[in-house]
Amino acid sequence: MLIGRVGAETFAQTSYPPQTDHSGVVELADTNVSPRWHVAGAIAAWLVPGLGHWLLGQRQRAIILFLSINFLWLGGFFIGGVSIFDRKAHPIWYVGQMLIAPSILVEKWHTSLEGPNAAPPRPDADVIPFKPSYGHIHEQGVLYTALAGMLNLLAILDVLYQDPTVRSRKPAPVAPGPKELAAAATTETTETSGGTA
Amino acid sequence: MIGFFGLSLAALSSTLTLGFRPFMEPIPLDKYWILLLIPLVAGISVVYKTIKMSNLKRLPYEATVMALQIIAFMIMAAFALWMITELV
Repeated sequence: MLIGRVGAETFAQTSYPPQTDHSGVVELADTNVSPRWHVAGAIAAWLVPGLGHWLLGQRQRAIILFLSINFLWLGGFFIGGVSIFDRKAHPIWYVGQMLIAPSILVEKWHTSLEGPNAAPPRPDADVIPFKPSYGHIHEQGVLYTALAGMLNLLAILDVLYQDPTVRSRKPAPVAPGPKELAAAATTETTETSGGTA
Repeated sequence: MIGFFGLSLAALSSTLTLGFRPFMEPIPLDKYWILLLIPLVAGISVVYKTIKMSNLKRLPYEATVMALQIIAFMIMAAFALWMITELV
């Protein structure tokens, strides 16, 4: 039995899934959601946005999250170029960016391109390794990727603990109106009179 | 020889080889940076509503409404800030 929104400890003490729906007790429509912490799913969601929901069986939600979060992340990467991933230049924004794991790899790549250990450009090279972005375009690229990371944090937290009473809740029963009450009273009266006759 | 959209193949080739390198340099859209906020707002709305909603059937409608609300409030905030800078 499960009453309202409860914590993980209560789930551990009660039978699952709850089956009844009386006096505030929630009946679950989808019993596939496991009432526990999904640490592996959260890590998977950090590595690949949407993968955590996919592992939980929420395929449609996972595909939408994968496409939309990667649209923002790749969009920011495309807008500002590799130079937007810079831990030293804007460490606070980098915290947001690294909430998607591939950002760390791209930042390492950026560092290798311009750091002290970077290979010196060949004398015959006709192109520079990369071109840094400035101004509004740089801001937009950083904003896109950092917001993608923070939205992925929402997805990670959503995977980390799934409250089965929220996402799997059946629609609340609609209170009967005057017509329904009158019809029910009529039916009850007819049944009563028929029984006495 | 005529290539795509009336461009000569030579001009198209020089554009592709000497121009923009994706992910290695920023896109040349400095003048139109404000338009980049629209897909950003759309993406935020879709992700937020995808996580928030229990039933995804109304996702397109809810995400569109949220995106329009964000854009409307951004315009209102910009107008208010412009008024402050102009009048104060």
